[in-house]
Order: sequence, then structure tokens, then C-alpha cells
Amino acid sequence: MEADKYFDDALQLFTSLPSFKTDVLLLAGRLVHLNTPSEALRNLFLPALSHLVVDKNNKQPGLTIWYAEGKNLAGKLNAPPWAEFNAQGYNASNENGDVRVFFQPWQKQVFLYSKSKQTAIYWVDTVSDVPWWEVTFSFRIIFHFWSYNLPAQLVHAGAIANETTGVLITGPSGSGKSTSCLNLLKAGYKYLGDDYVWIEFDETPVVHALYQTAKIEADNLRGKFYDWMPFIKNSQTYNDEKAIFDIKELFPQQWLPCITLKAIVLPAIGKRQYSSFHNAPPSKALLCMAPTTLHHLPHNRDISYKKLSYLSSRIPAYTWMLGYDVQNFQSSFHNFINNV
Amino acid sequence: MYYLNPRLAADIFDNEYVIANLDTGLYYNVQGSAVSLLQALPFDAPVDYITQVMQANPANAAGIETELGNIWQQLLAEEIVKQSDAPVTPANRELPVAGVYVPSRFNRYADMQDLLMLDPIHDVDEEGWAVKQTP
Repeated sequence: MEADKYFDDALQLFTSLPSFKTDVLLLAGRLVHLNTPSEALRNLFLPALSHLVVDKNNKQPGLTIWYAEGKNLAGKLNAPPWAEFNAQGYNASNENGDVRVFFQPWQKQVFLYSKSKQTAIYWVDTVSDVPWWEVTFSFRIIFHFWSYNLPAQLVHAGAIANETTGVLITGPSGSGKSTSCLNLLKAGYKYLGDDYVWIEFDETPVVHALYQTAKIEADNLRGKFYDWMPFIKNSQTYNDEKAIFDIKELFPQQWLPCITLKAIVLPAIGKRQYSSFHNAPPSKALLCMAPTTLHHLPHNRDISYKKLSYLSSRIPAYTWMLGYDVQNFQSSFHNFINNV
Repeated sequence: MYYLNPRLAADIFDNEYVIANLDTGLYYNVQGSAVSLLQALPFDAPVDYITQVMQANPANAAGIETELGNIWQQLLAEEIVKQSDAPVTPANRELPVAGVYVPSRFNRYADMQDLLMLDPIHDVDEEGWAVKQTP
């Protein structure tokens, strides 16, 4: 079966729904429609994107996402019939056509996207089959598919700002990226995300907050963010998953939808007392940003890599050697962002 | 003829090569005079270029031969540089002139290498979806 037919058959199941709920998002000036008949899925996926919700209007969306559980639909959807999907949900045989497919064969969910229709589908067998992490970066792979034809890129990074200056904080998992972002949020800085952010390649790149959720490992939570314990969204399960927080709800005054980027910061955990910033070459920014971003976004890597390469060449990069002195951690960033 | 693998993304930033194998998730960077070695591609014989660098830097010739030779072998092993039977055209093409030698490094980043077919063994139902394992 061709991917186009698989997509069209799946879409038919959705467009023939007798009723569904539509939420309208506005991301970087583009409208996104989220259509679902499933209140349970809506309750899972919408909170991470709730800051983007706008009133309904008659304007055409740039992207339409249909999502549902199997039981919501009149017909069955078979699993994607092509072999050789890899661990990242990627199958090279689908790379050159109109339709993109993200499917990990051990899961009962699939993400589809048609470039020509600017329409995406998320199907999951039941709400209990949704992996917990999916709801912290709702429809991540679909936003990535969509960005193919846009001057935009999803980046595995956090973003922090003061009143005038936005800073991208990136690096692989375990580099201190997320913890640094959340500590800076606690210290009073503006927050645009700690995991995935949306970059628009305007005259100067602009970072947009895509997800308003943060997730923290239980040990890290108890050690560094204990005062956040009452606000855990998944209080029954966070020990086995990660604790999830709605940041816009917790810190409404520090929430920022977008800001011009002035620097790329590459944190590095070290056994030192004091934190310090050092100039880093563009190659280091690219080597910090690209592997971790593209590992989870296996489709259209050539285009995304070029965008990340461009970003690395346009914005100065700095290594942030992290020390354990908390006061110095904050003052080093304060000095940095006020002088960058 | 040796040539840069066209399936790889390769960019130069501040005289440093960053090379990405987007099929496998392997990344590399090349620093120092080895960047010029890559920039000189395509050529028929790497030894010609390495010899030229050694002649331009006679005081450190032995170290250069070892360092560039090792990096060249790694470039071949990682299939960053490939070889074909076709000769370089034109045959008498001159290699770039080598200047002062800059110590060279080749780094390989495999932390995010794609794990091919890391598919937990699972049964599928008649629609092809995974059947949950009962504990």
C-alpha cells in the first residue's frame, strides 16, 4: 500500500466523524486547528499547548491536526503496513513522498502528515496507550513535519530571557539544560520552554514558546524544586515518569510567548564552585544542538540540519561552565545576559 | 580518486569541518591542517598532499605524517572519504599549497547514533498493532 492511500483512508475515518471539538492555536502568526472527538485525549494533549489557544475564527489554518482513539472512529485503522521502521519511528521508504509516517512498531499509536494537504493525523488505540512523555510535547513530530516548508525549526533546547534578550540553552539530555532553565525561572527570568522550542528564521531568529509544560525527574524535584511539589500535574505517577508542571499557570508573570534570540548557551556540568561563560565556536553550537534535536526528529533531517547550521552561524555561542555555588550561578547568568 | 562522501552534510565554521551522517546519527569534526586535507579533495593520492605539508614544515615532518596519516585512515574507515576507480579530472590538477601546519584532530560523536531496529519483540494483532504483554 502507498503511504498516500494509507493517509487518505485514515483521514476518511476522521472527516466522516459526526461531531468533534475544534481548538484553534496561534503559533508564530500561523493558525493550527486541533480536531478531536475524544475529550480524554483533548485533556491530555491540550494543556501543553494551552498558551497558544485563541478564539475560533474563519481564517484558514496552516495546519490541521485530527486526533482520536480507535473507539471514536467508525472504522478500524490498520498499523502502517511497511516493515523496517527504526527505533526513531522512521522508515526510509516514506521519505520522498507527500506523506510522512512516524510509527514505533511496539506502540499502538501512529502520526501521519500530508504536506500537500497540510493535515496531520494522530491515532491511538486507547487513551491508556498514550506514552506519558507525549503529552509534555504534544504532537512534537507533527510540528516537525509541518516545519519542512516553513522558515522555522523545532529545536531541542530551552529558552530564557530578560526584558530584551532571549537566550537559547541547548545540549544533550543530562547536560544541565533543563535544570538551568528552571533554576533561572526560579531566579526571576522570563521563560519560553525547557525542552523544545520553536525557532522562526526572521531577519534575526526569534524563539517562540511551543510548550508550557516542564518535566523534572523525581530526585531532581526533591533536591532542587521541592517547593513545587504541591503543583505536580501527575502526582500519582511522577515517581515512575517525571513530574509534570504547567509553567504558565505557576509563573504567569514570567511567561513569555516569543523574543529575539541573541545567544546560544551550551551548559556543561563541572566539579567547580563558580560558574563562568566562555566564547564557543559555531561548530560547537551545531554539535550540541543538531544530534540531540535530530535524534528524535528523524524525518527531513537534511533540511533541519541546514536550518540548525544556519542558526549556529547567525547567533554567537557560549559555553556555560556550571558551578555548584547557587548564588554565583545566578550572578554569572545575570552578568552574561546583560552584556551579551 | 578519493572524494568527500556526498551523502554527508559537511560545513566549515571558522576553519573547522563539521560533518554529519544524517542517516546514522553520527557526527564528526575535523580541526587544524586536516581541514585543508579535506578541502583539497578530490585527489588521487593522499600521500601527495601529506608530503607537500611535510615539505612545507620540515621541522615537524614525522609528526605531521603520523597525525595526518591517522586522520586519513579514520576518514576512510568512517566513509567520510570514499574511493572510486575514476581518476581526478583534470589529471594534472594542482593541490592547494600547504602552509604552516596546525595540529589536527578528528573527533567522532556517536552519543546520539540511531539504534537501528531497536524493536522490543512483540506480537501483533490482526490489524498489525502491538499486543500488550501481560505481566
